[in-house]
Amino acid sequence: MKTSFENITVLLFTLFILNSCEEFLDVEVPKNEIDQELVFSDDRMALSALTNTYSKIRDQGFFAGNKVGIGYLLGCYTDELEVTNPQESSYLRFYKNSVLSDNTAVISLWSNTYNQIYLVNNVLEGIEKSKTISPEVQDQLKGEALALRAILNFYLTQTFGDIPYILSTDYRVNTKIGKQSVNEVVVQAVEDLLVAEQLVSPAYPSSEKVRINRSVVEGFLARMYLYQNNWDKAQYYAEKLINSGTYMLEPIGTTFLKESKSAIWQLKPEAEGRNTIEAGEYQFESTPSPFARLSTKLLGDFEQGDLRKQFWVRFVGDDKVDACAFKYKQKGISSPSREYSIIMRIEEMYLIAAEAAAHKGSWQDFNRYVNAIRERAGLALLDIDNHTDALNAVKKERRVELFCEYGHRFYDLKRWKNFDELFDVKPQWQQHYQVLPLPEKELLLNPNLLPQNTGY
Amino acid sequence: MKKFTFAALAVPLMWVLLLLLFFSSNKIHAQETIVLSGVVKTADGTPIEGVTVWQQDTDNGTQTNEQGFYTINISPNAVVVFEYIGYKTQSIAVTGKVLNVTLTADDDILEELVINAGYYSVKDKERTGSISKITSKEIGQQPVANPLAAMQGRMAGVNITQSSGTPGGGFDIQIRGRNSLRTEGNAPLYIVDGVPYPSQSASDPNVSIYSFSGGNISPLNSINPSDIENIEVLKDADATAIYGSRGSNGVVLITTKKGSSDKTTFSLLSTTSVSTVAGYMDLMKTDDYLKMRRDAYVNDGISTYPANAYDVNGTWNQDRYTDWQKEFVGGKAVSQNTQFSVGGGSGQTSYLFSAGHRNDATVFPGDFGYKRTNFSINANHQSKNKKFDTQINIMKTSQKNNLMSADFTKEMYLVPNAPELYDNQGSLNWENNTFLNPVAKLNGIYRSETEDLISNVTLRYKMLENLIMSVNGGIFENALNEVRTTPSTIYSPSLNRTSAESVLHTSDSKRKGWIIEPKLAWNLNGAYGRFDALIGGTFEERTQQAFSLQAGNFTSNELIFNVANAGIKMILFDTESRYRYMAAFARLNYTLKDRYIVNVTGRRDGSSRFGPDKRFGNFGAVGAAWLFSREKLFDDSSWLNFGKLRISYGLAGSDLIGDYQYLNTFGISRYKYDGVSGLEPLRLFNPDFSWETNKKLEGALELEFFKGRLSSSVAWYRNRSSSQLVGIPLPSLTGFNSVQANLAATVENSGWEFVLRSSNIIGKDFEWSTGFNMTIPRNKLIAFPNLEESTYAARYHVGLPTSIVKLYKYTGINKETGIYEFDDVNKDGVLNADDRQTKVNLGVTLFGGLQNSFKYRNWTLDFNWMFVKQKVYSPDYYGSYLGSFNNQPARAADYFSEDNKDARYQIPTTGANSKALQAYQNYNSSDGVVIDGSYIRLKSLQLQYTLGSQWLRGKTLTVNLQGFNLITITKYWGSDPETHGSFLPALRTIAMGLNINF
Repeated sequence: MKTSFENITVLLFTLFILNSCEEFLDVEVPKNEIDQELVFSDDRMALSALTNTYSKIRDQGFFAGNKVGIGYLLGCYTDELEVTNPQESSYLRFYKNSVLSDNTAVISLWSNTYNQIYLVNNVLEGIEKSKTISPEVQDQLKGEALALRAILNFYLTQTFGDIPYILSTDYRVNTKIGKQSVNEVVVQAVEDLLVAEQLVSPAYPSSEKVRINRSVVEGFLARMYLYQNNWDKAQYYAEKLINSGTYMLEPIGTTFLKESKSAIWQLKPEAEGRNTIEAGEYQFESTPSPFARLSTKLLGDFEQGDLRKQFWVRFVGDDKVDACAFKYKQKGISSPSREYSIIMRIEEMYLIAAEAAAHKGSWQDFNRYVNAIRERAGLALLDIDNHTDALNAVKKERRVELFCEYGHRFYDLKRWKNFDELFDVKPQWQQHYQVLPLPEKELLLNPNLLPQNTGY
Repeated sequence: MKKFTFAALAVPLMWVLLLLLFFSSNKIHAQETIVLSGVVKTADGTPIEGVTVWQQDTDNGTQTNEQGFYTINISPNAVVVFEYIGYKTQSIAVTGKVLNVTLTADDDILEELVINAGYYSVKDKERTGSISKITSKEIGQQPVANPLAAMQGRMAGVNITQSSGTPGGGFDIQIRGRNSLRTEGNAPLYIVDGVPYPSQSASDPNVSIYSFSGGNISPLNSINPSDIENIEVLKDADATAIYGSRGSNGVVLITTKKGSSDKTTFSLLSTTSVSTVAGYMDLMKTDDYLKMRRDAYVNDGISTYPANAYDVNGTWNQDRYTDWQKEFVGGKAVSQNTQFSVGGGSGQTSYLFSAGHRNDATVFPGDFGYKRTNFSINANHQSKNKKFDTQINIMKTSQKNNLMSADFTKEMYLVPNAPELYDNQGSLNWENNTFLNPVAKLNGIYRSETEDLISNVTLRYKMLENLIMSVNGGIFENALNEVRTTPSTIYSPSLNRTSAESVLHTSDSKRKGWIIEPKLAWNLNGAYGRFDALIGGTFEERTQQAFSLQAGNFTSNELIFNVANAGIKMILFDTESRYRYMAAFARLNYTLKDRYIVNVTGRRDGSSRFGPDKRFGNFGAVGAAWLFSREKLFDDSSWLNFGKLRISYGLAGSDLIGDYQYLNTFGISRYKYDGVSGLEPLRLFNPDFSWETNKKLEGALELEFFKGRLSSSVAWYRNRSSSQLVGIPLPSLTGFNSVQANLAATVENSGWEFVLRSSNIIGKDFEWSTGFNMTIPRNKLIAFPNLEESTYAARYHVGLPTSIVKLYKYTGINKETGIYEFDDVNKDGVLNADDRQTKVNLGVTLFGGLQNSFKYRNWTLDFNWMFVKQKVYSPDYYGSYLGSFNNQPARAADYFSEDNKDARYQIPTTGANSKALQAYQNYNSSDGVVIDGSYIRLKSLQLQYTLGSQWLRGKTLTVNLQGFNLITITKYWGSDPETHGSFLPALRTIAMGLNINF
């Protein structure tokens, strides 16, 4: 019977193993993941969730400094850049104004931006539920998130026309959501900004100007009111920043340094010692330029002696034909970082104030603001007292002041209804090019986005 | 409650077995013994050494010596058993003191062909499930590095395609079709010597995406085909349900070679092979190309060529012509494979040791290649009383891959009059900054090092003659280190980049796993039939750690591989994951009169991949077989030797969704901002998903005629996969591309499988045999509630295969504008998603293989044709629009012009004609780019000569000539119908090998 006894022991042992450990299947949360509720129970972790959005905004979507960011693409699309590389690419399509609904840059602008909007909505919802984050931090983060949501939606609607304004993270809702008109989107964005204005602190929340404070919110309010032709409010907010004493017109040579006193909102590179992506993307060292050069038309639009042409444009080669944008000068690495990408600066506020004043016929204001910009560029002062000249002057200043900066040229031409200015370099220009096509893939997934923008 | 349900299966079965134990406990009484002796010989009188002689139902036994002589002490009237491999076992009741025995060879080898079904083995003729098998003989006929390549075209129902011809790349395997709507959800379960082996590529696509299609590296690259004895593929419910949740997509069992207890043998194999790309595409020559470009400018109304039209404006020499395919993928890849093994043993113990080294070059320019070194040890031991045996396997593999960080295949569309790659000094030619020289990419390197260890131990104890307890334990380890460099030198010098802008990307992945499977097998043989029962459990854990780093700002490009030299270091991710799995399984098989067989299998599974309330699932199957040829009716049949009808039905599942998907968590983002590293939501939260289930039904008829000279099998199967675990695609508006959920859709895979084997000629000197297999798979989406409302509306259609695409109907070229036109189905004047109503099936609709084997004296010739019927995207789909700064297929010279209104292609444009571009985009979404990609391919061929053993005295020397992908017959006009993408096509290989055994 000894054998039987052994056998039974073994069997019982097996039975024991089979029965013993349901807990075996309980695996703990891995070290690289953290529960959502925990994230929003702590000031620092909640901040991490928000700064993640800033880094996404810096690297992908509209504000990316590379060739699929809006600065480069719309520079090619309008009359700022001339593509010299004959190889097929997204920006070549933009240059030829043959952007279709399968353009990879269009798809990535759309999907990256909506991902960023999801992230800010997630922060908003997380903070709303949290009971443990300190009230100051709660207000500041919420305000920053609302402002980011407004800014991203504003860029989307200016670029794609009618779009949905996403307010929640619920995918069941967002899968079926329909479009709102451009006007509705801008109204909603302004509303978000007005709430944010009350929430964020007047001072920058960290040591540099790389996160959103009240001035950034007000700067975007000024811009959005300008786009809405609300001259009073545009001027009010622009002047608020101009008169705040925090920001000053920076000499041309130092405007784009990270310490620039004119910068209102900068994006900080991902690592200490890095500089802007823009510097590496726009510059080249020998001719013909390997990707794109500044358009001859833009070069011709500078007045004689404009310091901005001297400092922000660099000619390459002997024939003075090929030139590159040279606003950001420091490529690659420096110790410490020298330049940050500037999303908004005080010069734009002067131009907004000037444009609003022109519409209101406040010639004294107009001349003061526009001359502040011109004086700094080493140009003769103006004395204008009629609507047409004033508008032409401010349009010209915007063109040479803000070239190759996040699509200002395109959005300006659009709101001025001035696309005829492109006809000499873009003879094939058509009315419907003022909005980009919606990505085809998205229309297939959500038919409520139909119809496709007219003409595509 | 949960505990009860889990134990519900295990406990009663255990008790049943325990009770049986008590009733059948053996009765051994102390008695006097007698000495029995004798000689064991073969039929022709040769004594046999090593025959096992033992008294039945005891652990009392011995073996014969060199003269075939034995002595044994036994109890009187005992039954003595004589056993020797390859001979029929004899049991004789002892009457005297001398017993001479003649063993007869077991001719009916087929009868005894045993198939490994994973947890148990079954005689081929008596199996109730659907299992395909190939052996080392077939595997050895092909000069391939990956075991999956050796299976191509040889198994019914198993469709394998190579995704890239780059050494160390990936394969796609589908067993009985696509069950899941997710590509990665279709991988089978791989089991190597009892240890589950990962089916997913461990590669970090961020690092490898430019070198391999989809960044996919087949994990089976680690296994040397020469070490494999058998590969079995389990297909139907009867065979796979015992693997429960992981058997849904089939199970691939890989069994490595074992030692035999014969005399010591050495084997040395050396093969040298040369590979080239199997096919090139016919591209435009300079004249046609330049004409097309000039016409494009004319069509766009541009009369002066812009400064950047280097090809036509005179900047580049217009008389130059280069076939860039020959330049970039036209190389000869030389491979060297050496394999050594020694095996042997004595009595109760045997071993096999093997070592191999393989070295593959690439067809790309530059000095790149793949190396693999592997060692394996196998040892078996059996106790003298035969009650206990153990088996140990250890396999160790190292792989090194050294490639450039780009697949050059895409460069074939380079403008044909582009300048020379190198100048007179032999340095890169940038043609005064007008030429983005693709060879500069050679400066970017991809390197990977993989270390694998698979080891397993099986302990088996025969508690009673009919009750065996065993434990199988195993581990695997897989470590992969990948590096990709992007030095500043890959860019045009006009950008003036320095090593400060060079980037190194490195990624480390470590996967580990262990498994323990205790098992109890019992059988009972009596007048009422034979019972085989099995019960067991599985405990398994797998962990994966991954770490990835990006470094930049190097002092010099020479130091780019040294992270310490980098000025900037950024950790991209540092992750770990753990997967745990437990199960209880059982099998009960009943055979009546050797001809009626019922097989019941079941499994209860728990997986950590699901949320706490969804962890457990039950799976099971019933199979039955009727060996009707054993009925009296067929006793005298001269033509039918064997006939079997089998049927099976059951449920298997799948949990291939990745770990932790049910958690609502944030991960650490690779991005830093303002000194703070980011936290980001990892997925849209859905805790309520669970097992995907697959109901499988199969019926088959197996026949053998004319003494086994002709055998055939026909099988019909129908698998219905439901509760699909999918990442439901979402519009980007939601912030993500997909959300993990069970979809109520049901996908049906059905089909017919035919297998035919015949020995056409069996002569003294000449033999000819043929094997044929063919599969006709059908895939159908049979239910999808609310499809029209879902995000799948534009992709699927109920009643049609899941491999369809919805496309525009291409109607031809407009004779006025010269632009492609499409059917505006709803006649609303706009071409949009509503008009994509033409449904084209991009799947495989028929495939199979034809093998022939000839033997004449010492010569053998084997070849394997593989055929596939499929529709694929034409090369146009991967190209660019006509008139762009890229070369085009030669057939595109037939484009529309005033003189050629019946052209195949539309008018060329430089990109300025947005109507033509829009039409080009629509054309790529129309049935115009879908073509017949069917092909017949001479997959492998081997001619072998064996030097006779009579004058080598037991030694054999084999010389062989092998070919792979030698001939392809197809209407497909691109490079290769098998890979049919934009990566390196499959390679054609010719190999010469030498094999010595002594």
